[in-house]
Amino acid sequence: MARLPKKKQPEPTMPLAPMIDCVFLLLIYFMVSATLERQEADIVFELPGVIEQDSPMEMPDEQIIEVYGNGQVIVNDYSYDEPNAVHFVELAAMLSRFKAASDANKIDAIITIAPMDDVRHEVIIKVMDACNRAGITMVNFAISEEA
Amino acid sequence: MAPMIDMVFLLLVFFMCVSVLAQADKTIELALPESSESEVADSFSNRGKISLDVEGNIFISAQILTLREMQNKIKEAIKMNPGLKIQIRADKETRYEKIKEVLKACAEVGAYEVIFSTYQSK
Repeated sequence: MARLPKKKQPEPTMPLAPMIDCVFLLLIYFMVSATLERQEADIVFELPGVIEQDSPMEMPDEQIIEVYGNGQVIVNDYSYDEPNAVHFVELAAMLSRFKAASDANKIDAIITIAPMDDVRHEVIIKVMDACNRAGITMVNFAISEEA
Repeated sequence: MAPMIDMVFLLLVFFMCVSVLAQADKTIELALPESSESEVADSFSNRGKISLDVEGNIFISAQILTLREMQNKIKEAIKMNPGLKIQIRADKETRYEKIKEVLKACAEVGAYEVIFSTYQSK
């Protein structure tokens, strides 16, 4: 019996083009999802803690900023800025003067923020921004008393 | 062709790892308030993240907790690491009433250093 000549099998190859398409697609997906997240930034403050009893008491200068639910900011019965202002410019200016006066007397300037219960977090951050702009770093919150 | 495929695979693996790592540190998505004065920290270590959504629900990682449970967690964490900072991620619409409860709970267990998370505005 005559043998049929053996048919030469074609060498197996991997289809590269569709694979590259797939890999590119995955690459783009992961690149986009990695860059989409917005970076978060910090505002640091300290809660009123324990005072060391044997340290000499120096009375700091303290101002209380009252914040109302509609966004109104009141210090010493005087209202500052429009409730919907993007930045509290008047408040920052007043706080700068307060800070300068405290510095002149060589005492610490302390701010206590006393927001009402229905104040939105956004407004509190705007008040903290104003304090920061005035260079006041000692910011407290009224948390113990029922506001 | 081969070197290009190598490169692309390498990039793919890199971005996959990055996204997996980002998932591990997953927190719930919130519309944080914008601040012009906030700064992106150099180090994110030594922090306990607490998220507060619009209704004032408390989350640690993506797990919802009661105020008491949260306080116990902070208490344990602060015992292990006294320098722990509490990072509060609150939605911009969250009412102060809810934030006050969290601040109070933190102060009660000795966590005095608190950070508010914001987005930087230009």
